[in-house]
Parts: sequence; C-alpha cells; structure tokens
Amino acid sequence: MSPPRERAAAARRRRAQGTVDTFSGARLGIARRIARLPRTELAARVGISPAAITQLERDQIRPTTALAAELTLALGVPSEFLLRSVSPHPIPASSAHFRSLRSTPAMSRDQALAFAELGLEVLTAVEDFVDLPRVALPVLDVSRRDTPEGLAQAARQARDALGVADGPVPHVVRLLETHGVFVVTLPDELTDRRVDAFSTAAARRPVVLLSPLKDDKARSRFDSAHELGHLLLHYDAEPGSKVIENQAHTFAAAFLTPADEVADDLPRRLDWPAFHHAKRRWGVSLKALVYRAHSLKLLNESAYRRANVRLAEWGNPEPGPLGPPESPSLLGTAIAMLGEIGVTIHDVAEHASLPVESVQDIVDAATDRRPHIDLA
Amino acid sequence: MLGDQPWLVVENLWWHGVDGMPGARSEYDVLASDTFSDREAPSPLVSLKARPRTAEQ
Repeated sequence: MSPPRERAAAARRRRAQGTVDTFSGARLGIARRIARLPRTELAARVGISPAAITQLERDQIRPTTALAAELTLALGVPSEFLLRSVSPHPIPASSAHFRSLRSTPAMSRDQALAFAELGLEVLTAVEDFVDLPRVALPVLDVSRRDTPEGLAQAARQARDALGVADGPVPHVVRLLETHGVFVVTLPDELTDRRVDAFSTAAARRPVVLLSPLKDDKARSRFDSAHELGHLLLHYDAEPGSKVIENQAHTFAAAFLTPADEVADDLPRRLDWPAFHHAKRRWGVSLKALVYRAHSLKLLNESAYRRANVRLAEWGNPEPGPLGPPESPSLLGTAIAMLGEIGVTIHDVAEHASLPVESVQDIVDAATDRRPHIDLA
Repeated sequence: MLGDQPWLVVENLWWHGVDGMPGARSEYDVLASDTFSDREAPSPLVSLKARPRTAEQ
C-alpha cells in the first residue's frame, strides 16, 4: 500500500475506536517541543500528516484513543500528560529574549520555551494552594536606554525600586523571585550549549530561564541581571538585535556594579589581586570587572588588552571561583510548605492534571540543587 | 611562582597579613569586609492560602 493509502486505512481503524475528548493540544505541543521533534518527524512516527499534528496542537481535531496512545509512545511521556491541560500558558517565541538568538537553533529555543510553559502550568497549580510574591517590577523611564548614561540611570532606578541597598547585590535570583519573577534552570539533559539564558515578560508572570552549563556564581549573577535588564527595558522591543543585547549587558554591569560605588574598588593598572578582591566583594567575574574598569576609563587601552590576553589564557572557568550558581527557591519553598500540611507533590500533580514526574522535573528546575547535609 | 595563580597572593595576604606587620591585614581587608555573600538576601514570601482553590473552582 502507498503511504497515503496506509494512512487512510490506519485512520479508519482508529476512528472505529472513538476519540479522546480530554486531549490537550497545548500539552502535545509542549511534549513535542521538549522532545525536539519537528511536526514532520512526529507525524511520520505515528503515521499521520504534519498538518494533522498542527490541527491536534490547536485543538481543532481530537485524536482517537489509538492515535493518542501512539503519540504518547512516540513522545516518551506518560499517557496523562496529553490529557486536559488545566491552564496552558503559551509563550510567544517572538517575545523571548534569547542571548544568542541567531546562533541558537529554533528547535533548542522551542524546547526551552516549552519547558518554561510547563513550569508556568505547575506554578499556576501551586498558586491555587499558596500565595506567591505578586509581580512588582518597576516601570522605568526607557527613553534614554540607547545611551550608557541612560542605562546607568535606569539601573540606579531599578536598584532603588527593588530595594537594593548601596553596595553589592546579595542574591540576584532571589531578588527576582521576591518581586514575582518565575526563575527556572533548564535541566542538564535538555540543555543545548547554545541556549544561554532567556526571559520573557509576555507570560502571566515574567519568566527567566537560566542555563545550568554556567556552573559559576559570578556568571550566573550577571546572566540574571542581564535578563532583568530585558524585563525592565525591553518589554516593548523586538528581541534578538545586538543593540538590545548590548543594552541589557550595560544595564547588568551598572546594576551589579554602580559606577560611583565600584570605582574605588577597581584598580587603575593591571592589578589582579585587586580585581580578585573586587570579584569577591561584588560577585562579578574578573572578565566583567576588567571590562567595567575599561568602560569607566579607569584602565587604559594597553592594560585592557593585556588583561584580555590573560583572561583568554585562563579561559572558563576563570580563577577564583565564587561557588555554585545562584539557584531559584520559590517553587521548592512552596512545595515544602504544602508538604507540611499534607499536600503532596502527587496532589499538586493531580490538581495540575500532570504526571508526577513532570511536576518533579519542574520543581527540581526551580529549586536550589546544591546538596544539603543534615547534621542533626 | 604565583604568576599563573595571582589570586593565591591575595589569599596569602588575606589569611596571614602583610609581611613584617604582625597582625596587620592587607589593604584589601576594607574592600572585602562587605561582600555580596555576607549580605542578607530576603527570601521570597510564600504563605498558605486561607481557602485553597479546588479543581472544581
């Protein structure tokens, strides 16, 4: 039989079995994107057309029981994953600020977005039981975001509005979470090296997704501050341009190391011990501090060049690690609190209409993953 | 000797003070007295809802 005839015969057999009325197209889309399967590939695996996959994902048609089972098998998810999404949270790809938009394959971006969408579903279910911090990000004057002075001013406004005292920012991720941002770390197994970090303000809560591959506190803090810059400066801007990325970078530097405060800690010559101490004090990498010293005209061109040669020789990770990256804690805290009153992760999973494994994946991604030693 | 590991110089200064000045600390002590990791970071506030929302709602 030719492929179209085979497909028609298979469709007739499936129709005889009835359809799955509780099927969720949104969940199918999430599972397919997390599995990094193009529609054509999934369609070929289950013997239907790519257009039918699109229709299923848009809830325009329902699958038969047999097709739903085949989709489940092809995607490697428990059968309940594809049933009844309580509250889907699609994140438009066009709203997400990916650091290396052009060099990141669309499939990897899609995978990260799908994981964030799943995270928002879990968060929504948890919010039915607990009150989480409300979204309280300041609205900044972005009219001068195209100048370093304007960005420095925006960073200062942001520090004031977010309640950051003068001096180093203690914990950037926690600062985001206390102001209602949902922060998750992409699981190792889903991480494409080219996916750096991304943020979006287009979901019901602002989302920041961090890469687990930057196993370094200084770099992760800068990433988080960079994404905060996007959330505050670029909610109206089309993601992806070098201009926008540079603005977020300049914002992050000014946010973590305000010029008038860090200047006294930065050397006027290539003094590595001084840079190292500034790193420990401000929680910012040597590389970023050298760049900062140069942009503040504290380090001359020649010293800056020599510093970069040295930094390149050291590579990543650079000397003087500050420890593991900052981790989110919001969801883990909420789940632990629910556990104390007898609401288990199984209850949350049932409430979210999700498999327990999926909820656990999200909780792990949004929780401090450092090992804890209980001395009691 | 420490050319490739300049941070060790700092660690030595930090822990042992400056040569010839017993008990003295390096000039960087002042800088390191208020590090980001020493500062308290407020945790996000999470509280139980008085009336949890059920699936039916």
